[in-house]
Amino acid sequence: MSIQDILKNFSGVKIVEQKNDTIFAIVDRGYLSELSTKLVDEHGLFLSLLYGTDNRAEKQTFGVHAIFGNDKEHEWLKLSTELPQEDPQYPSLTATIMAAHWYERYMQDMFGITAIGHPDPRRLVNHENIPVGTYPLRKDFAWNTKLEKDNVPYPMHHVSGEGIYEIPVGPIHAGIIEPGHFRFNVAGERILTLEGKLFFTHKGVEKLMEGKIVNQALPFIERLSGDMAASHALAFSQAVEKISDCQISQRASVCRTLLVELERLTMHIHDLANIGGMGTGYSFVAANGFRIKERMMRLSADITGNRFWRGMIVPGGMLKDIDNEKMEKILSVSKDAHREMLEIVTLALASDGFMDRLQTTGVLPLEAAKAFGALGIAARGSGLNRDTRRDHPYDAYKKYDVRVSIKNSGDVHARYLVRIEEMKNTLDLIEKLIVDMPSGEVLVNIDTKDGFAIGAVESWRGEILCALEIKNGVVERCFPRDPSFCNWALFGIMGPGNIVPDFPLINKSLNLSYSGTDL
Amino acid sequence: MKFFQLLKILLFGPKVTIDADEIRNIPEDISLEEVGEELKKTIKNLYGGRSLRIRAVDAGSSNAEEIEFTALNNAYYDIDRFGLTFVASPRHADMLFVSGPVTRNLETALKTTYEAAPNPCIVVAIGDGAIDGGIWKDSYAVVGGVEKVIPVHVKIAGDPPSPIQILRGVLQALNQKNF
Repeated sequence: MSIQDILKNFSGVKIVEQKNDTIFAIVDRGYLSELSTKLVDEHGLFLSLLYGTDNRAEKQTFGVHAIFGNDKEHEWLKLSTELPQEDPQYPSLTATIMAAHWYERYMQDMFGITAIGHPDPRRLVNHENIPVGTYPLRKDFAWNTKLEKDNVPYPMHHVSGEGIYEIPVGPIHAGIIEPGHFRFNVAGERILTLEGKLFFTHKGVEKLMEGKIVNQALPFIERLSGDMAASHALAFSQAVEKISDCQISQRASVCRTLLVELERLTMHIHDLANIGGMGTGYSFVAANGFRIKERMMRLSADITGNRFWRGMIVPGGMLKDIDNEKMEKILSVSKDAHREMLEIVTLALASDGFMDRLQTTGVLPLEAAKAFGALGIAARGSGLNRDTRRDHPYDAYKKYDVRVSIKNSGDVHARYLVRIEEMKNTLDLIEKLIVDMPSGEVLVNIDTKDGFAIGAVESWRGEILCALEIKNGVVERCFPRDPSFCNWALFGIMGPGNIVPDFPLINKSLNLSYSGTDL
Repeated sequence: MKFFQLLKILLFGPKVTIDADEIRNIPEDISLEEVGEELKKTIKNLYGGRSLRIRAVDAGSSNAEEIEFTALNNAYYDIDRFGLTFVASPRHADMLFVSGPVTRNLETALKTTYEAAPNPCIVVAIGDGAIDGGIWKDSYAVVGGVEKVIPVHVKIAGDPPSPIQILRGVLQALNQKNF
């Protein structure tokens, strides 16, 4: 059912605009939570994003915006409500929609907007050192404010009882990974509860982008998460183009898809090597997998001039073209990489010891995946059939069918198999894209207009949603939501019941970005 | 039966290794071998035969630097053969690789990591962010530049620097002998 039809059932909501694939509606703040719950529970929409805005200068209000995905009809619904500036609060969505839990804590830290009835209203982004009453995303907070050092408590859950131990891990880890803190409560080796404290790498990117023209904001987007540069740039560019009614060339559209798929291939190879090798200790898989990944990175250096598939995708198309010779090279290197990686994982999967580590480890039940709004590999490994490439098609995916791999067991093994299948599907798609590559220019002139749009891209990690508002030619508000933001809390479900040494394996099976989450 | 299956895989299974030459004989990597040899000599002189131990600390990077650190261990670079190893604890480290514009939330962690490392500890700031805060400079959430928190001996520019640039920087740090 289309969103228009669904909303006819409710009287307290008013559709104000429809642009591209997005429907804009407004509700009263008292009704937001109730309506959202009905949309999710009764009509099968997914809460994809929840974020705040500061509209005090014009309307003396704060805005709260919920974005819902209607996968079947390829539509988005943006449900907005206004909160008076002297009383910025509304009934919490989290009580009935679990997926809202971090978004609301995030708004509380960044805007001082209170979600009444939130079951866990602790701080999220602001660590101990941030003084009480610091709301960085309010418009009267200067981006370069020098904050005092405070020592506000940042409590974490813990269990007590005879024989219960608490294991703190991080933020500086033993391996070469990003910083985050994990707190295990264990009985013997068995994990009872597991909680993460993140946002160590919070750099204030959202604030830094405000007031910048889109081309100045793009470098920040490309550096949200080093391993997802192309996908984030694509989501942002898409949003800018939708706002500005810009039609990019056919060739640019296919080339962009190609780049994002190459990024997916590179990182799936990395993950298969990392889970299989570093996660289980079967170092043969890592040694060979990382060798193959290095080839993909060198391919990137050859095509884009850097090793991270970065610096090509811009609003309006692509910064430079890829010539035929390079296309041939892409094809041959990708084919070889896929073939060799497949040989290696086939050997790994034939090992009983290897399978023993992967199977039944870190199970994410389907209900939990749905409730937490799990995205990407985590969702598809647990039987949640979602893929933005198919559900909200963009660029070349409008023309090509995307095969979505689904596994139902929800364990590390399922996520491993999903990656293997996606690697194969990606290679097939890369072949098709290169064969059918249209000719023409890759960059069109873009005249940035004012407005709001959503950029949605299925990166290798999962769905990126970039909510962008442009005003007076500069970024007014940009929330580039990384899939990791939605997936981090899943560890609270996947961890308990496993033994502590399995956690690194479970962690690698999702391979979430810290920097992308922390912004 | 299992034994014969294994034998079959061993003898007739797919080829999963490649010749070392195939990896090493890439023209652009001649410089890698040169830098590597020089590193090997320097480390041997400095540490009397044992290897140089490195602890990587992410102080707020975009994770691109970490990807390059991991790349240093793959078959193409394989820095262990030059006498460099990444270690799990700062207590075992001779050198810190610090990446990212130090964020406020990581300032304390970086400081305590440095304090945990035995003296002399060579600090290498890797990437534009680590040098002066990069594009995130002066943000409310960023302290900016590793120098502002702990002493830095060598800075390696780049966004992120390539593995070979990182190795050249390490060599420079060891030759400077200002630690």
